Amino acid sequence: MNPAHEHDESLSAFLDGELSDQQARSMIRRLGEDAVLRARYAEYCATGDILRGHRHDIPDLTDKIMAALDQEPTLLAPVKKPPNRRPMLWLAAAATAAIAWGLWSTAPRQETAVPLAAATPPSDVVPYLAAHQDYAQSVVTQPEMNYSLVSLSGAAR
Amino acid sequence: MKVVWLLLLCATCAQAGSPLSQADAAAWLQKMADASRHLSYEGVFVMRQGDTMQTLSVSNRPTAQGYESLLTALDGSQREVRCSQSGAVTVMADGSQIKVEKRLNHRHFPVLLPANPLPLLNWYEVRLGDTARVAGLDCRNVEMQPRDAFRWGYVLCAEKDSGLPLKAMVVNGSSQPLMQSAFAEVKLGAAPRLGAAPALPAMPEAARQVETEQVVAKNLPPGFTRIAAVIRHLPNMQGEVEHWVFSDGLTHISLFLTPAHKPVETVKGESTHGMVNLMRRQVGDFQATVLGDAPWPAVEAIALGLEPKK
Amino acid sequence: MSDREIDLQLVERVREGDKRAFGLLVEKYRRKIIRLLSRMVRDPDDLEDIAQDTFIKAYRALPQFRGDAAFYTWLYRIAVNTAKNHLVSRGKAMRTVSEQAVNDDDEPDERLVAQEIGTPETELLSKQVAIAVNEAVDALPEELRQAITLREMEGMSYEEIAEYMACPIGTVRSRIFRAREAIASKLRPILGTSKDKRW
Repeated sequence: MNPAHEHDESLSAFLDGELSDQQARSMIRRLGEDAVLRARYAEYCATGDILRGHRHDIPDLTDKIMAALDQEPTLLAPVKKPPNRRPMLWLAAAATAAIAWGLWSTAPRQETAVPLAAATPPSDVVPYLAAHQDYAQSVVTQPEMNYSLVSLSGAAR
Repeated sequence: MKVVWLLLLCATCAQAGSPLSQADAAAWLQKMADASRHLSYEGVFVMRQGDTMQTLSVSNRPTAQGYESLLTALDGSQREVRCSQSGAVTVMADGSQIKVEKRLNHRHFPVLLPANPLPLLNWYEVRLGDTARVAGLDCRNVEMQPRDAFRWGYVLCAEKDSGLPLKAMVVNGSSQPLMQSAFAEVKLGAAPRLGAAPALPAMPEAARQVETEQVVAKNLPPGFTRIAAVIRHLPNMQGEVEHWVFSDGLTHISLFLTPAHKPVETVKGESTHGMVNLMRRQVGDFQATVLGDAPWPAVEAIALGLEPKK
Repeated sequence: MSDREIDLQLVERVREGDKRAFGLLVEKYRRKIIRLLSRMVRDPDDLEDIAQDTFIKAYRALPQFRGDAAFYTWLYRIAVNTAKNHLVSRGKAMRTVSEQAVNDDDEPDERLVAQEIGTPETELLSKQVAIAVNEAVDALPEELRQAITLREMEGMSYEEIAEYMACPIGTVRSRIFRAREAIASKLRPILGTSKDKRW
């Protein structure tokens, strides 16, 4: 066992939810990098579970699952956090945080894009997107949308 | 993903590059449309769009009246879609209550082609692609290339014997996948009976038909017709909205109309991952939002072609 | 950072591409899920398949996990649905347990003690691990045993334990750590936990 672990109480405190946010994040990183630390984590989890009466186990299940995950695509679906860094809010944050304003590059026939000064993002689009997707495919995915203002040259027909 | 797709395309050039005859194309499309409805199957599929992935289970069973299917979200949200010849409902757990709502439509993977898919041949050119293996079964890619700029391309991978689509991709003009659904596991030939949907004393109507139109759509792209026009509520929104849907049988574009209480800015939107386009503008006294799984020219054509009804 | 926030952090890391973080979640909830499933499933082969399936499905569905429910609640529903689908598709009935029993997670394992849920090898190993833990706890000095019991079985916070045992919080932290280390040292030879662990 790595001697540095012998007196390190922080993994134990981490499991009990008693570390600060910063210390906990740091511990999660360390667990990712240190296989011996992960082994201790597993031992501590076993201890707690058995004390609570979860006697039965399939000991190599974690290994099998991690091996199966090697065949799975790596998830890249990071959470968009609102600025105050509370735990993630899903739809509400997606509606407002995901809007990026910008010039649009293709030159369509009748419109010219204008850079946006201050403008309100269309807040009712999220339910419209959901209703459309539910109609078209019965599954709602909430795609991230980018918006820009358009001014129509000539009168709108 | 892009690399895989290009390899697929190159292999296709070597093998089955030329378009199918009308007769063969019709046969492939009909076989896939029929298999998705008339076979018994059940499985789990993964749907990917951009960075997001969802996993759902689906089962289908032919019945005397047609077919019944069940789609279940596997994300702990306890939402189900149940379809049968008599209609479709969404069943949701809302806390300790079960809510049942009538659905407007019942299209879901792998039942993506219309029951009569032949008119699609007017708008899409069908080619055979490579063979592939999905969920442990051999299948063949059937590529539907749009004949114009108003729709995305589609590739369905049809199981070798039955023709059941095991994988479906929406692709753009550079052959990049915009959305894909594929079975992770599937079993053909057996599907459980659907239990009865939980009974409710009275099921609220999801929507009512539009009777008096206030707006006219004058410029629909070739092949698109209006397939729905209802007045409905949307979740988390006050009030009612008018919802129209235009389709060519494969591509769907929605229009939402609400009264405009103040001047409406004209806005264009596009999804970061490219499949969805949107345009909003004022039409008479209404705010019109057109959005769909189609390239910009289609959304623009429909949106600019809207006029107040005289 | 609370336990629930830790789960959210781990989920976030997995969604940022760190598969190992998912292993930490598996390790944390594995026995709970196995016990839940053993109430619904008779066949030990089915149990292992369904348990593995549950976690794979959870992995794939992580982008849809909203932090408003606890991770375990969400995982629990996936396990129940996976078990139902698996059994129904193979024409098998669920074990007849009341819905309440399935939901009552705090029931001790006595009912299941007589039932084998794994292969002879895994059953033997599970038994040895359980015996080692219980023996190790019995061998602890009184104040360490009390601290670990209050923490793991009563779910008391360090602050609550400090009040109960009339000692500083730092002492509580140290006692729980030493208790865990004493138990882990008895587990280590049985589990063979070493650098060879795959994940």
